[in-house]
Amino acid sequence: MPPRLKIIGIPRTPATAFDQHRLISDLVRNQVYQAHRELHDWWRTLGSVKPEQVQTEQQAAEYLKAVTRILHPEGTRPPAPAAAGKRTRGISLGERPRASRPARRRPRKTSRKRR
Amino acid sequence: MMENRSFDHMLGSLRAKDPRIDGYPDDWTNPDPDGRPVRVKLKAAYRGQLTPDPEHHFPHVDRQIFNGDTSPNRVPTMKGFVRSYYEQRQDIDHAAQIMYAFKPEQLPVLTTLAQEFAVFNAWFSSIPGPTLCNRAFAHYGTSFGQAAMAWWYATKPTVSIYDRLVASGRTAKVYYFDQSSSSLEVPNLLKNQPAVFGTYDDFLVSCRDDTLPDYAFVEPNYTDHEEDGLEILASDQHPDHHVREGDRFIASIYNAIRRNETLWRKTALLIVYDEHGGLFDHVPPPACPPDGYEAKLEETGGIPFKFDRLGVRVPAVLVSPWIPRGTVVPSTRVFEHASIPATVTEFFIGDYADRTVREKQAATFLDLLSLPAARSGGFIFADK
Repeated sequence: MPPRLKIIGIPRTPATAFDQHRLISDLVRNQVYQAHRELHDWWRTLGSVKPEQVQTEQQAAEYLKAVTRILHPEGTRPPAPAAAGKRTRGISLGERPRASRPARRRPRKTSRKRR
Repeated sequence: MMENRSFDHMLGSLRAKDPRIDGYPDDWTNPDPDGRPVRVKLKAAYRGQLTPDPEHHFPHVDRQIFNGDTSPNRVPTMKGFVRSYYEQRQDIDHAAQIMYAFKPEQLPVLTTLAQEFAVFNAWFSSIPGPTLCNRAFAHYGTSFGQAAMAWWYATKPTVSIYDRLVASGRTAKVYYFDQSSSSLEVPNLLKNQPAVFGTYDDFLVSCRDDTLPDYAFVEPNYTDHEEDGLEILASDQHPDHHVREGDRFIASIYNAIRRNETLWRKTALLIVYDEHGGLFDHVPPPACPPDGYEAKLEETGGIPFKFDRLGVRVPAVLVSPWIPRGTVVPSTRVFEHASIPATVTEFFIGDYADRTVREKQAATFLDLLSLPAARSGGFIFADK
């Protein structure tokens, strides 16, 4: 860190903020449909998940990850060591990685299919 | 580029600290469905108030701006936000929450950067409509006639700012958060040009190593999702995602640049929101030059629209050590998202003919970097 920089503390986002079962917004719904359209042939051949089945943010994330892996295979590589040392999942403002918070396992409210 | 928050909702309360900042007047109201005035209150919560997601498609935004007036010579009053939101839940008390604003201390990152560097009094979304068409103006300087969320395919001669830069021997990248969040530019850019994409991790490494491209566009995380046993919070600030996580996301981008002194001195960071998300603002969007397109009536609720009026005002903050502390860009200087490709093209390429009327007439902003020497010292954000 450069010298002489004042530190401004920013509170962490509370754990209760996380809700992977939140229903997706119109924005994410459109993103899912766009992704489906771009890989229409691929889904027809290999996929069984239809975009209208995607209801929650977690389901959307899994769907988009499958599509993005195909469209952007470079993104599948693990982060460079330096990046892995800088960041845990979620936003961290520290220079040193903080301990990861294990996910709270919750019962699935809707069926999910992972590619 | 963040998601769906208006200027007054996020930064309007700064007017009490600095009267040069064009936040909502103390007595600003919108009528409820019974005509009773609903005042602005400093009661915005990080989440939980904006469910359902406030409408922000063209017909609703038109109602928010004109309060239902469809006459030929109507004038924008910005008085229709409460009535628009009321239609979604038929609950007056709930609808009044569309007039809630954040206190400055609730958004320490955004408000600190706004006061330390430059805050724009008049940065408007490009279309009185939703996300994708507005974001298109940031990438292409036009939405190709789209005023809604439909996908489209960009056609020449109006190519993206990324195409232009690469063709000119420059470098450019879109950084999306991770594969599960992906990009909102799937049809046009991600499918055809995966080489111009990177992830948030890539962005952090490039900042550390001073290997950022000439132009970088950073996308936040659009979903709460679980991956590799970790909970990953949405950071886009789209209702009803937790707004603090978005503030922290902005802090992480600033920190990544600020920690590398070499990069810091040669980088300008623009923080801007794609559109207002149905939330109140008091400044009427001005007219603008037509874009050469006419929107489909099914996208506008039957209202003719030639892309000749900007959308609702959004927060925009420019960060650089070359900006005088406490700069407030006056309301007489109007910006919109086409100002982004206009500024980047002007700086890195120069004359470039194949642009839309909107982009050619969009104001640019690098003149705000006006100091003869970069400011030293400053601050960095850290976990509390």
